[in-house]
Amino acid sequence: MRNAAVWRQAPAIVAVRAAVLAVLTLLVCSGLALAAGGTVTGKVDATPAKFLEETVVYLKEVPGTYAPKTIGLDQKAKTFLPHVLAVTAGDTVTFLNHDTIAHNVYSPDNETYNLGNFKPEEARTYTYKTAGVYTQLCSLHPEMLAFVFVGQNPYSAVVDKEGHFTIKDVPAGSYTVAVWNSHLKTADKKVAVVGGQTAEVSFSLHR
Amino acid sequence: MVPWSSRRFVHRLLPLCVPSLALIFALTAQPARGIPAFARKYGTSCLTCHTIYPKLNAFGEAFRRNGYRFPGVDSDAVKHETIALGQDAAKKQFPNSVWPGVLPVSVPIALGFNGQAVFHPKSSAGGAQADNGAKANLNDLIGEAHVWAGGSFDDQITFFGELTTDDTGTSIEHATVHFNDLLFGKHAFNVVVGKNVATLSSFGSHSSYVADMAMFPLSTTALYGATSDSWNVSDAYNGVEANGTIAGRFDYSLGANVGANVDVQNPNNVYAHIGYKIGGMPLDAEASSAPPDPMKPWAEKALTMDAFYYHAESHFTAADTTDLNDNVRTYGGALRAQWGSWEFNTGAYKEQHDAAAPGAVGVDALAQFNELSWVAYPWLVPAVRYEYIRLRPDVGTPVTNSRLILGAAILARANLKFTVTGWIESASGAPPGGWGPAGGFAIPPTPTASVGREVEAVTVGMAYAF
Repeated sequence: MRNAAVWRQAPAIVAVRAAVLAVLTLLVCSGLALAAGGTVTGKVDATPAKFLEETVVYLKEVPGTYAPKTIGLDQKAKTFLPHVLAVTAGDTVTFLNHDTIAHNVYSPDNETYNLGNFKPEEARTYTYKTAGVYTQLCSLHPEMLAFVFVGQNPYSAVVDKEGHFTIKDVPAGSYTVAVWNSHLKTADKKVAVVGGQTAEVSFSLHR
Repeated sequence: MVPWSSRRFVHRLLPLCVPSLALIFALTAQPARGIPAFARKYGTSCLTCHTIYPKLNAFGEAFRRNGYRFPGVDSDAVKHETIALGQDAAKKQFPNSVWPGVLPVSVPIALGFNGQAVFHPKSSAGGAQADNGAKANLNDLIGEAHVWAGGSFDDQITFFGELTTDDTGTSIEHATVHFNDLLFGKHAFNVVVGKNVATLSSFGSHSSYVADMAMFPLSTTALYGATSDSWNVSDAYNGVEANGTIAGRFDYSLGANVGANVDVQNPNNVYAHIGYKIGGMPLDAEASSAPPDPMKPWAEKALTMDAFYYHAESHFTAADTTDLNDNVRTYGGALRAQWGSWEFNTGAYKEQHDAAAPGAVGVDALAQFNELSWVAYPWLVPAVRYEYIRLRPDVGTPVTNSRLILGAAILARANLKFTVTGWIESASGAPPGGWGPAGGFAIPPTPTASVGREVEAVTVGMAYAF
């Protein structure tokens, strides 16, 4: 009998519970989405196009503290890999030497540093304190070049070969989006980021 | 003047005329100043800078004038791969690092060959006599080979060079390093170091469709029988030149070179040039300037005026084997008028020699030239040219030579061209060295006799570069 009563009441209870659960789920998901932030994406064109790969799109002045990370920048076949690396002030870059010859790593920019010569398979690190762009050079092989873009915040992205970029997990809010390029320039743009949504912004670079 | 008999006179002139054939008819397929090495560097067609090479269009002239650089930032236009000999950021380390530059992945050279077939409609004409009376001469069908080099050390320093080889040997026609944009802003003050033709005009020295040089050389001491190299306004000499373009309309040059001497002499040759262009593309092609009709990049409405002065000192061996010091004061001017596809060039210069002939006889020499051309199609340019020479020695009889060159330049491909020219010449007398050193063929029976208008030659030239 008891069971039968329960079963008689069950559809209504289940329906209410399901509705509550659905609402709660929706609210939780929305909250999670808001907490996860939004995405800023877009495309960059460059004239001349040959400088396109040396481009970083970033958000200016996003308040917050960011946990430091360690990122690698390799040297293979007398080439820095990647050619452009975006990090955040406080991050550490590990410079690896995967060549069969010695390399030097130095930058004449901003803080200026020289990590000395290091042998094959040796790694040396540098922690960036100041935001800015650091040209990465090797005094032993003057043709070698890379750029370490050190942002005030982690909301930056190096464009791909077609100029596409995506900056994820941006807290909701209004920001200024800027572009750094090794040779070209463009005006900043404003963007409003809504949690869980994607904002698009594009740029054209020129001399 | 030496009182020669007519037979002796003709006999002496003929050998002088023979080498002049190769010299003169090389003109039907001239060397270029814009070269395939540049086409490869910028990944662009020859037609970006040339109409029918070596004739440059307004953009090509600006490229040459800018020290072989594109407007804007030169490296922006470079498409071929380069090896960085240092990175820009290394400038911050200077003097503890070498100033950065670039090296092209492939050697920036180009090759070219040219020559001509020569036909003589009239076997008694001077031109035919110079070819031993032959009706046709195919000896120089390919008469010259050229190796050109052109490129840049960076966005400011560029280089250009040309080696030419023919039956007489190999010579450095040009070899220059251009240090650009040194002072007062872009294009305003540049320095050119090396072996080069003095800049006496706003336009390239090969600005002709049917002749070698727009401003043809006289080689006056050679006209009077000099046996050593004869100085002339169009030869390349080792020296230094400052030049520049101001506000895209005014250009200038100021230079010093060693000139022609039988022995080591102080480099006392100096020259200066000013030019001004009204209308058309600016002389530096900056400010995104473009031709009014994109389908006719050569066409513009413009007027360009030039004036120059050139002082030269030569120490040469005269016909009587004595060595003479010749001071030459040369002044001249030129004008280019363009109206769409029509172009008219005219100019003259006068050389005042203190001692150009045996016995230290002074000579007053005048050269005048005119050329009218019409770009009928991008590949076909008919042109008519008239050249006049008057030599007035301090002792002796003045002599004159005039020639009419009718012809057309034809592009089979952008880097393969043909020229067809007819040469009609007349002369009133001849200098002791014959007219050959000044590009003439006429052989008067006596030094004071005249030669009426005669067809010296019809040439079919071919030139290709790659």
